[in-house]
Amino acid sequence: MKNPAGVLVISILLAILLGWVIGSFFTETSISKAIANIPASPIVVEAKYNKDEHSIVYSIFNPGGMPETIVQEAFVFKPGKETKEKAYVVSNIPVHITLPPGETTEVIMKLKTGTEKLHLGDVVLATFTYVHPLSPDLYTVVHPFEMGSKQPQKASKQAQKTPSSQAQEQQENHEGGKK
Amino acid sequence: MRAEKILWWILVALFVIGSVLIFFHLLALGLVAIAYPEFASFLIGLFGFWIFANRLIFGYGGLANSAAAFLKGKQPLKKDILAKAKQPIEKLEELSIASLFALWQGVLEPFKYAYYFAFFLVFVCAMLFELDLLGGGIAAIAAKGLMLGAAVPTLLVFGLDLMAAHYVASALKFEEA
Repeated sequence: MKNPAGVLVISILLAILLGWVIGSFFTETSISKAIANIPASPIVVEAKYNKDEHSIVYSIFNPGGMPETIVQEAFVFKPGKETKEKAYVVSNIPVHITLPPGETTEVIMKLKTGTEKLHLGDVVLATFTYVHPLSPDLYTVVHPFEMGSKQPQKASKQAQKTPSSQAQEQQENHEGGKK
Repeated sequence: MRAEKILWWILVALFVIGSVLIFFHLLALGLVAIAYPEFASFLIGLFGFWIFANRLIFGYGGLANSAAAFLKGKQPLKKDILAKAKQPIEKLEELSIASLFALWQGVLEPFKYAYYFAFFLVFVCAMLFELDLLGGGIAAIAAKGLMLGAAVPTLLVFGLDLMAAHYVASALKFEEA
């Protein structure tokens, strides 16, 4: 190195980089520690009806850093226009499903045995009761599932759909259930 | 010279006292270290590597200072240079001042390579953890903190080494002219 100014510039650049890395390292570790102590509310990412098993499979995502445990399930069945089944309520189904932090877990909820298969427009309002290690309180997540409408975002478009496309979607659901 | 020894002894004392406190579970320092593994490993890397880098930092710093002063016209005592380079042979005083600077630089060379090698090992270890080849968890955080702590004195050694090399080279040219 011929120029002391060059040495200074290189050293200062390296020092800035090193300081940046050290600062972000400490920030990262403290943030990840803080996040690991926050119990988050689980999110139902997807719900699918399995026709063969007569059950609904929920994919529940735990975005927090603490494991949570579902201790109870309950659901309300509201009939749509196409079914002959009457409304019914099943509550206090004891379960013990752990949702690991940062992961999506599949939770299967069996519908009442002996009832008719779900038809288009039937609504199942599921309630999951969960606990986390920080407090003895019970928390709930309520998820409405409407047969035929896959995602909540599509719900507004659903109204404008023609009957033929709805029938197509029902077929898709049927195929999905067989898998 | 005095500052070098004082700093070295302070760091050694900190290290020894800290490890005694941790190993004998005095002052619950071990519990603090377990609660904040990233800070603990960063400090261990910083102090531990500084103990080994101390001679290099003060050596290259002193060399750059006296060579720069020599370029401005100050004539340092040859005895002082030899004392700083830890060369007790009086015969060497027959050499010119710039060659004594070169000798001082050469004395520091093996220390520099041993030091860089130690840092390289720590860096590779942290890299392997970062790539998830040795597992994750607290060990990965500790390895990264250790490497970052060790990087601070290493950066000082690097910059001062370049600086000293520049001034020694210009002192040799200055003497020729």
